[in-house]
Amino acid sequence: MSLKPANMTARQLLHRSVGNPPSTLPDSAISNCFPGLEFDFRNVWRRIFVGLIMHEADNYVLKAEISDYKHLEGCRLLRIDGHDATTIVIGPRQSGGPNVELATPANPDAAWFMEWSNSLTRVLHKAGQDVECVFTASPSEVQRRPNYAETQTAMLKIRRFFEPGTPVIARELVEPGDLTQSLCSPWQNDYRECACYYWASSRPDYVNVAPDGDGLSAGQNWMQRDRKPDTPVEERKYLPDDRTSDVFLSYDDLFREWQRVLRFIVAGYDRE
Amino acid sequence: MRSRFARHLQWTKRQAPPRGEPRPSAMAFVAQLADTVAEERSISPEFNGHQYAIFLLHVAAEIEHALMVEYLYAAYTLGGPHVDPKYTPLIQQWQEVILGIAKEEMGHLISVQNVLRLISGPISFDRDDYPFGAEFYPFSFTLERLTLDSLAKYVYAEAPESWSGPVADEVRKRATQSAGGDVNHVAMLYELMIETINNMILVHDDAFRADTVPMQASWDEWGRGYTHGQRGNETHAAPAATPELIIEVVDTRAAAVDLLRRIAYQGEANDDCGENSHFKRFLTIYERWKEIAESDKNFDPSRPVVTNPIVGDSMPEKAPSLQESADSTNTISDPLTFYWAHLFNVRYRMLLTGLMHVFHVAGPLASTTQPSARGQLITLIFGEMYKVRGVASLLVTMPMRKGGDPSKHCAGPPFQMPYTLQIPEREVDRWRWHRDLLFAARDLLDELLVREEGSPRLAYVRSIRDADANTIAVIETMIARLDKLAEVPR
Amino acid sequence: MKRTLREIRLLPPLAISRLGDSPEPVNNYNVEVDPKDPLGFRKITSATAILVNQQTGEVSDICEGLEITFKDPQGRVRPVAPFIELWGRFGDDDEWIHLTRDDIDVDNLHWRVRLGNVKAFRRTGDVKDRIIADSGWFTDHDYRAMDGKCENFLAGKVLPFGHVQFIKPTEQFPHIRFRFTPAEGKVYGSNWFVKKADGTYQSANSADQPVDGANYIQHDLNIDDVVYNSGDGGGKWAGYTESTGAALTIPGAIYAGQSGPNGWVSSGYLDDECDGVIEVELRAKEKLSAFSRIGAGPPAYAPDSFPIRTVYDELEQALLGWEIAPNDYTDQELQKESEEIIRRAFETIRLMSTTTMNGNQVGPAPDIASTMVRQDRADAERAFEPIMAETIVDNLAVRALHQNIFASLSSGAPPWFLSVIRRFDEIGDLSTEGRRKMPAMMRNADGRYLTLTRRQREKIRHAANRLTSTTETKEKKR
Repeated sequence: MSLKPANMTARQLLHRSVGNPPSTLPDSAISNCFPGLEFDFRNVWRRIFVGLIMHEADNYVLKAEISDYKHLEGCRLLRIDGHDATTIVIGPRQSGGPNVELATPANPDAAWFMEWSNSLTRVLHKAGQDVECVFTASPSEVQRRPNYAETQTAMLKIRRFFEPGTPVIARELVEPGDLTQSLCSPWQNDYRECACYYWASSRPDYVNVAPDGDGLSAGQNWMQRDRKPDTPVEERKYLPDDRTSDVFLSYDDLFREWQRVLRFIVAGYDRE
Repeated sequence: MRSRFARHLQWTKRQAPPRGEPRPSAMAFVAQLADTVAEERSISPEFNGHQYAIFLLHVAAEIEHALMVEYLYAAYTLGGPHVDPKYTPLIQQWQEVILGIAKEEMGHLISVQNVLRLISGPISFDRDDYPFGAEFYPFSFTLERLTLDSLAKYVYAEAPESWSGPVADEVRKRATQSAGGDVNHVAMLYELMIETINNMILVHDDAFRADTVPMQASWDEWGRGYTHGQRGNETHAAPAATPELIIEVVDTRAAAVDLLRRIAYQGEANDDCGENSHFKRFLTIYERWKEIAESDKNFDPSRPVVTNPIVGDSMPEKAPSLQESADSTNTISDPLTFYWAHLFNVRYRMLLTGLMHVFHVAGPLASTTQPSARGQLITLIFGEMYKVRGVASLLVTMPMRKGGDPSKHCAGPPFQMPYTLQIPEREVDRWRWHRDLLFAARDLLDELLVREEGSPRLAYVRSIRDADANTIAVIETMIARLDKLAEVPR
Repeated sequence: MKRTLREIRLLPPLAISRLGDSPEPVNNYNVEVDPKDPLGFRKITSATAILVNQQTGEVSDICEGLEITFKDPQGRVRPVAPFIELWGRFGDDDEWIHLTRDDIDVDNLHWRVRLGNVKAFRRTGDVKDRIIADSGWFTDHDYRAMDGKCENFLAGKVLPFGHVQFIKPTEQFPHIRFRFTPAEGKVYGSNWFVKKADGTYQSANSADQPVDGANYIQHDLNIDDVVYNSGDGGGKWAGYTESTGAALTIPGAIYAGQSGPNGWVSSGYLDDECDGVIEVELRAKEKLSAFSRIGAGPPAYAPDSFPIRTVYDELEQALLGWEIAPNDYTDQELQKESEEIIRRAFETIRLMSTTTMNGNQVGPAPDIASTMVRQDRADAERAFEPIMAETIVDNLAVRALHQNIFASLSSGAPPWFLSVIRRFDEIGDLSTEGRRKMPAMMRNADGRYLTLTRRQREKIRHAANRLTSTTETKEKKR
């Protein structure tokens, strides 16, 4: 239910045709995609550099579409137009301990890729222009820190994001199937994977919630089989998800019967 | 300060040195006290060492509380439609810095409660109503809008004794224009308190009860990330590592002494001109303000908020004339402002009641590892802090008297103390107490629902009412459960 | 005489359809905040619905007040089948209007829809695994099936992606509309029987013992049909295995399958989700064309609640940039934007077990739930410990906190909590303080903690940049 911006083109992004419920609009679709629900929207960035196909979720060059860039395949993109694409991970190794760089065997530089959307917003206005991109000098399976020393530079052209003057994503950026390609297959798999708690307003987790008398909440797990919303409050218990327990819906239940067993939640309670 | 306290603080008069002479050190005074005890004479006729330590902590708590509210008030007065937009970033920075200092005072206040708990003293959130004088503070505590004069008072009060030079002289002059007589430094209170607690004769080892830790406030629960400037320094106007909320649990004498020393260092009792001190932060604002005022005679970054606004149980028949002096109060007589001011007082009371309650919740209700009623109380307290902020921000846009122009004189948050901070003994009755206050608030909000019809403030009335309704629902289930548990089987 | 169109456009430019096997799509509804209940759930009320006669392609009725149900009486989920409207304008400065058959010659309208599901291709890299449905150019009003074809399918097999229909404008309902109805949400596979990770068949007998000399193998009840050819001349999707590698999806191994010696072994399942384009050409004296995008995803299971960060936020940032320009918003609008973000925060929190997600010990052992706390340890070897103090994270407490913040914003006070909101470049900060920033406990697209888009955060920053209450100033541009 986003507020309509003054800009006409932006308003058209939220155009609600007659007869269309709000769930048809992009503001009902999550975008902290990992991998996502309606889309893995990260796929929109794969072709942002003309000549390259980047990994949708990483600064890794998957493929060069132009032979000139073949040498960049497998390399990591560290800087775009002067801005870092990665950052360092810090935190304590022991509870209460000092914050240190959190390097691991798989990540010796303690480096982490910052998602495309917020990174690239700085260069999208340079569509059609070349920007300086700094890559690792050679292919790298591991992530590299921002000031990694062995680098090479390439000038890459930024693709326009929208068709000019319109609110539709440019043809050359995304082809049919691209926006959903890295989602779970089948999608029901994702509903069973625990990471879904992160989009509770689209894929609920804690339902039929009411105060329990100790000042705390009592509710049920959306994945719990055969739950009854009129269970007395003191008997409602949220059990943390367990993919092997019979208490919860199984993968098979979802593949076969998702329509029947998953329930719509309205005002926080089971409805249909 | 009210007489119950003041009569035990007369020794401070004895301690105040003639101007220019160094004051006797607290250590020396404490050593003298210890000797007194060793000789089996009394410190103050009605105290032993342990009681005296507790008494000093209560005095410190009053001062922290008074300062915190004073600074909050000052910060809330900043801004307004009369301020030239070109100053907006600067004023915002100042507001953020002062609020940061107020938050640190809150941290001090909470930490002092932890020390009280540690030595089995009762907790204390009490203070006098504004304006009031205190033996340990150079000026009356008063709620006033931020001006160069009031700023000078804050700078001066927080300044180390060693501060000197032309700026120091100017600030002292400006600040002490209204002050007279002997001036005491809050640094002395802190040193005395620390030395007393540190003294093994005055306060024995067995007075320090590590088993009280579950009853203390932890940084995790209260600090919420306000450390090293991680929060509350968005404009980067304040020094980089501020605000730094100091809240810790203490389990030994050494821990208590260390905590109190750090509190003293951060705030008032700072012998250092360190960049992060309250003194330095206030001084930076003062100097910049003066600079601007020299070229812009109209520069006035705070709203025309009256001094010490109060609200009476009924509307005054005639609108009283407005007083500017720091020692007087101003009674609200605008009918709408009247209700908002009462709502403010109820929220402030709920906040204080919550604080009293949360330090007394014990047993299974006070789990330190799982959500519990105590967690609910902490959330309730923070909720009230947000409401205090919200209602205060409305009050400073409203007139003092009916038909008054808020751009000439406007109201402010009264922060009137409740008649009592005591809470009932039984846990279930404490929750009833909270519910009573929520019902009182609801009555005020119902009144406002009608009076604010068509006003831009109506949305807020509805939001508060909704939020309160949710809280009442939770509390009612708790009361029902606790009543049931208390039922004696027949 | 008809004016000449300068430009046409299909709206919305990106529409989302949602799967369901009921023949009746869900009726249109509105979801709105009740001003008298500002902290409550948004209310779902009936909105203008369009009923289409599938046979003729005409609108049979446009009506109000229909009952809103998300499943039909048989318990089937009612799909969301969006309408895409053809808009146009006659001059650059003219307003856009929803075109009718009076504005253009409908016979000159040509449509083409291309949809794809390339989930298998993304894993295997085999272009023959791409499933594409292409309607070709058409002008009729048939309820047209969009069948996904794939070189690695068995002969004659398709994967249905749903239906499209060019709605026939009539005198009573003259507007130009197009409709996409998504598929039924089925699962398709590669084999009628279940295989184990080693490629042999799963026994249906207990204790793996033959019965009467015959070894019954397990029928795969998960799939509706076998479409994929995993035999000779076919593809490698069934049995495809992945373990680690920089080119894999992140997260990896998220297809239906089982654990094998070399990694996660795919069961060869496919679903009927898809995304693609709808194209239209007005082939008159001058050709005008436009296209829009469509996707098919799962139902929105909490239709009265909205996510904190959405595809719209990404699109708005891509379109308008991350910086807020002086004339973009008034103070009141910025305040409302800030409120909306906080509202969505408590809409999400309401449906989340915050106690679990905080990393509290909720069972006999620590770390029994999948949480960001576990991810921090797995990804970065950070100490495993709860994010916030364990005592303050009950769902009702967290909800109350956010609702109080929302309430304070509705007082008109500028937001004061900006420094609490994580910046996009702070995702590497897993310190105690860093993890406690907002939004908390949730995952970002890069796998670490959620951040808002930069533009979202800038809205809050700009909202905070004032010295007045929105209740005391008139609405005006900054």
